[in-house]
Amino acid sequence: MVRVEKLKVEFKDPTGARVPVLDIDALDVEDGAQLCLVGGSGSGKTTLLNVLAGITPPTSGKVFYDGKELSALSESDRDRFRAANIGYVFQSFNLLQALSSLENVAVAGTFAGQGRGQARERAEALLERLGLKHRLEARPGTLSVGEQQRVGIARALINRPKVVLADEPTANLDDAHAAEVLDLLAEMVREEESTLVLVTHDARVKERFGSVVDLKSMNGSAT
Amino acid sequence: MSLWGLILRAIRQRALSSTLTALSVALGVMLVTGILLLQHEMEKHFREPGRGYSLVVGAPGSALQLVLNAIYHVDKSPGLMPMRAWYELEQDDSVEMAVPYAVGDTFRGYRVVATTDAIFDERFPHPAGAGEEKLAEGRPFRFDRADLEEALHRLGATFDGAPALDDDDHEEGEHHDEDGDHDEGEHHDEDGDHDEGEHHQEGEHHDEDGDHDESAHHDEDGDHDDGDHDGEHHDEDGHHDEDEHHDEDGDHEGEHHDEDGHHDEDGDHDGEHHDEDGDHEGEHHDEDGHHDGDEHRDDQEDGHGGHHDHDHDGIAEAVLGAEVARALNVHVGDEIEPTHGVEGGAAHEHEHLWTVVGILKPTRTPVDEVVFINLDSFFSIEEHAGGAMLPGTTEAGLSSLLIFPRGGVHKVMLLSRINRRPDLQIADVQEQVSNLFDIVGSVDVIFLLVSIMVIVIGVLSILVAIYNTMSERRREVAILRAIGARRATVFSAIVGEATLLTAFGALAGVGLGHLLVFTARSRIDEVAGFRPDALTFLPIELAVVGIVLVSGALAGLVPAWKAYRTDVASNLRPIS
Repeated sequence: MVRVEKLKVEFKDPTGARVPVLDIDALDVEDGAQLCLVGGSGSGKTTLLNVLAGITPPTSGKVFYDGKELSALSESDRDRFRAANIGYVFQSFNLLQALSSLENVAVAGTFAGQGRGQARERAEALLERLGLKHRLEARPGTLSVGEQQRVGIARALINRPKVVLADEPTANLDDAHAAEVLDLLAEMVREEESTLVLVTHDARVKERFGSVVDLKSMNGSAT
Repeated sequence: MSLWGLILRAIRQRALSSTLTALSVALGVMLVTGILLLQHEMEKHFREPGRGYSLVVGAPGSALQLVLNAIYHVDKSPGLMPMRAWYELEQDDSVEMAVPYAVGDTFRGYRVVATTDAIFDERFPHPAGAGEEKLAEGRPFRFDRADLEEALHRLGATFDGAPALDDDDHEEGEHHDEDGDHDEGEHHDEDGDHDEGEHHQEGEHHDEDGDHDESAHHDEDGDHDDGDHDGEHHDEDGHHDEDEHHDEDGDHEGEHHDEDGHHDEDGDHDGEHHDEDGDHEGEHHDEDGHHDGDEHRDDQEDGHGGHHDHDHDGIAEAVLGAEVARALNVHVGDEIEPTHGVEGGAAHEHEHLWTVVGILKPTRTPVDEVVFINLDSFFSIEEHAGGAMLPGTTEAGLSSLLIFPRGGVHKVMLLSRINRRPDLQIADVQEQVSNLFDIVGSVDVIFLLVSIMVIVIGVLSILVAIYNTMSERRREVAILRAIGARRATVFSAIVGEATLLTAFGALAGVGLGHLLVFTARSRIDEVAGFRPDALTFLPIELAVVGIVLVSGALAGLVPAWKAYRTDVASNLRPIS
């Protein structure tokens, strides 16, 4: 279970003034849940995911995973925790252009300590499951946007993460691809018995999720 | 996908930039490798020829010039030194072996060195071995001290400290007296004493001659005096002498030698052996060239005819350095015709032929490019008369005298003793070689420093090249971090990339350095006089590669630190 307590995140603007971005009193995500957080641009969606991923440390407040406080860990411990427990799906896919589809997925496996062979096998299975069996060796630049995001989903799942964080996963996709990707994401997360936290401002997405929370409603002092 | 896999992908992704930066390292390493290799080969070239030599005596002048002339066979000799110094020094208690050189002739561009058969001694350094071991084919040339002295007499030259003998019969007469004594078998022991005592000079002749080593044995062994008698006896037959010459030219040379060997072993078997073997008597003729010479001179005195010119040359044999034989395609049995002209005026051809009797094994030293002839033949040539004596005197001259001292203390003693003399100088070969190399070596240091600067620039270019890509890589770094790569992993990947690029550059540079030397080897040979072996790999090259690798890794630290500090969140923002 993911629990957020009294979370505040502030950034400094160029003049040095503190700008509050997030102010969430409490947020609980049950294991296996598929939570959709909606909010307009600048509502702190991405920042919330970065805090949940341990990338951005909160200004104050705590983040717990099954009772373990992520926000108390050092940066390298957070890196390690992230590798093992969190899968990240990005709006603009963020695939490494130098690597093939298969390598993009497998490399995340090795960061979490999987053996090369093991990571490769698992990556191949996931890509196959996502309908990319024929594009294993293809470079990201040669894939369609839908295919690229499917590679992104496979990468997020390679380490059987506790939680998959998805940041506007459909923003760069057309309707047909968006629907396909969302279905696959939800389906795969369920298959892997993972938890999904997805942030979006995309109306197409909200419709597909039962549990939709407006970030604005819980974001207290922040805009 | 391992870390190295990731690094290789990153390098491949920026193939052109990666290649160029690696190339800049390669250029520096190529220059350093090339210079180190050349330096090594040059040092080998300068030091190797001097290895095994100790001292060179010559006319006063530049010690370096003396060594260059005597050991490296380049440059002119500082002038003529008196030959009597040879006679004097070979008797010196500090001297183990003294080898005279007379230079001045060339054979189709190769230097001719007239010397004794001491160059076939195992103590003589290049090539290694003794006698025929030194030879790739054929046999050593024969040197005859008596022929030499005879030739010098004919030139009216003094050579052993004693006044010039114009009555050669005097000497011969003594000899004959001896012979007479020897004929009386009973007086062997006394004769032996006489040989060593009265006929001191002649005793020397015997020592010098390879063949005469036997004679030396004979002197010690009373029995062997018999052998001498036999030989001398036969010498008196002029006809026999000519027969011998035929034998030498013919196929029977080898046999002579073999039988010489037998003779050594059969030292005790005195007279009987000689009586049985006709050939054996012939050998004695060979050994006692002294007597051959005497007879020839007699002939000359009697007839004074031009057709006798060749006869009084005595033995005229040549042994060629390996390169001379190879380059000129000269073989054992060929006759060569050297030209007088390296020293002492215009070149003109002798009307004399030397028979090639042997070819030395290759040494990769200047010895390979030298034609060695027997010293007695050198002075038998009338054209040499002008260059044979010290200017304004009747003293026979030599170009140099290689001295092999008995040991360290003797070397020092000889150095101080001879350097005090006004008529001679003595040079320590190793010291001069070191001086020479120091001169050349200091120039190398400058080249080496320049090359090291090129490497430094190459390594810095790796730093700059990777650093410059860091702005476009920030996103990659952020992605890697977001999907679980630790900061240390990202840091290592950048350092690894710099190291790997450096490694490619360094290895390519080593290869290119050798290739450079290989392609330039002929040109280097033309310019610097030595042909470097481009396939020699030096331990220091490993050190160069190691140092360059460490430098490359250090250069990678700067961009790696930048990667380490990359803010993940801000660099993950959507591009659109």
